[in-house]
Amino acid sequence: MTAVAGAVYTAAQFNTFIRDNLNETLPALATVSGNYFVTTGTHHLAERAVAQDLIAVQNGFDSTSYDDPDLAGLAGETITPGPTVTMFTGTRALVVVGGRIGGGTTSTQSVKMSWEVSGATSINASDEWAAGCVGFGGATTFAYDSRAYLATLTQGINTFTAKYAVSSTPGYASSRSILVMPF
Amino acid sequence: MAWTAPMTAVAGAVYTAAQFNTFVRDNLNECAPAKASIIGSYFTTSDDNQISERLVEQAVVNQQDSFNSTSYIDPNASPTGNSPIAGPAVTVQTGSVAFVAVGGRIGGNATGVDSVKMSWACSGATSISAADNWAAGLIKLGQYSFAYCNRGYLAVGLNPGQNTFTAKYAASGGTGFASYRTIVVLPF
Repeated sequence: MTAVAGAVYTAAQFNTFIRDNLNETLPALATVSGNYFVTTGTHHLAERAVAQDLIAVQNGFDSTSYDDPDLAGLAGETITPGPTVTMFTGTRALVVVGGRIGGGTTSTQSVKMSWEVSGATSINASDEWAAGCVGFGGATTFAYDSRAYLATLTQGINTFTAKYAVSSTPGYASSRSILVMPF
Repeated sequence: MAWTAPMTAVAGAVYTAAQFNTFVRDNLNECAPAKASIIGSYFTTSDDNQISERLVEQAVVNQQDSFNSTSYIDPNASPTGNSPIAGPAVTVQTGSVAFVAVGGRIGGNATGVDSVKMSWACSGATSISAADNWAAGLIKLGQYSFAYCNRGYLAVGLNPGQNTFTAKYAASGGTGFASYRTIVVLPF
């Protein structure tokens, strides 16, 4: 409202224009340390939390299409799918996957770590947002690397899960992380 | 000052100066425009009903330096003839979480190197040692092989305050080299 000299400033006006508007500001919405704020509509803000999952152990994979790890690590580590994070997102999120990614005892043409989305959004894993290496040549050659990509989503609860693929012989990945920063 | 849940006005009741100061002035002073001071910064939650201005920071060291330790250290030699340059490093005010990305042109030299890694350590309000889980680098790529690689990772469990993030390096089976070294920290 715009106040006018001499006009009565009513309780209803205070409640609408002061109280209710203050309750839409950041400190009124702030609840958890480490969160941040995004715009969810005209004059509407929401608190978001960045999340990450890490699987340190090495696993292998031998599918040419993106899949969960299906082989133990070179030292016999138990197969552990993921990493994965589930969170509420708006229509966009920055997703970063990475790890120690490479070939096994024989040379591998390509070894890739990507991610898929399930839940409110369905997105298949793709090379377009993969980390990894191609044609490194030697056996047991690895790269510690990551890949950042902006995902376009349907608002809601979305689950982001790392997926893996190779083009020939088995690939391996450890220190696997996925980080999602929702907007 | 701290945030106070805004009062509900009642018709016919006196609206006092103290109420204005507590529920309007003090609360407005807790809002983002009152706290905004640095162009390019952003706001995060630092506690229940409390926000803080944060600033993303980056540091770059272009010089190529080398390292020959299997545990993470500062570079300890340089093929340039100059003294090796530690880092890059940035000091930022963080909450409990920060996104950290390190990267550069990383690899071996005349001798094939088993592994060449660039990670980061945290000092100041928090102590975290550099580790492979958030490293960029290469393993067994062969002589004179380099990659421009990077690693983004979420540092969690930070003690809120001034934290310094410093790139650290390790190599096994020979000497590793790194140039165009960057570190970016996005604090929450």
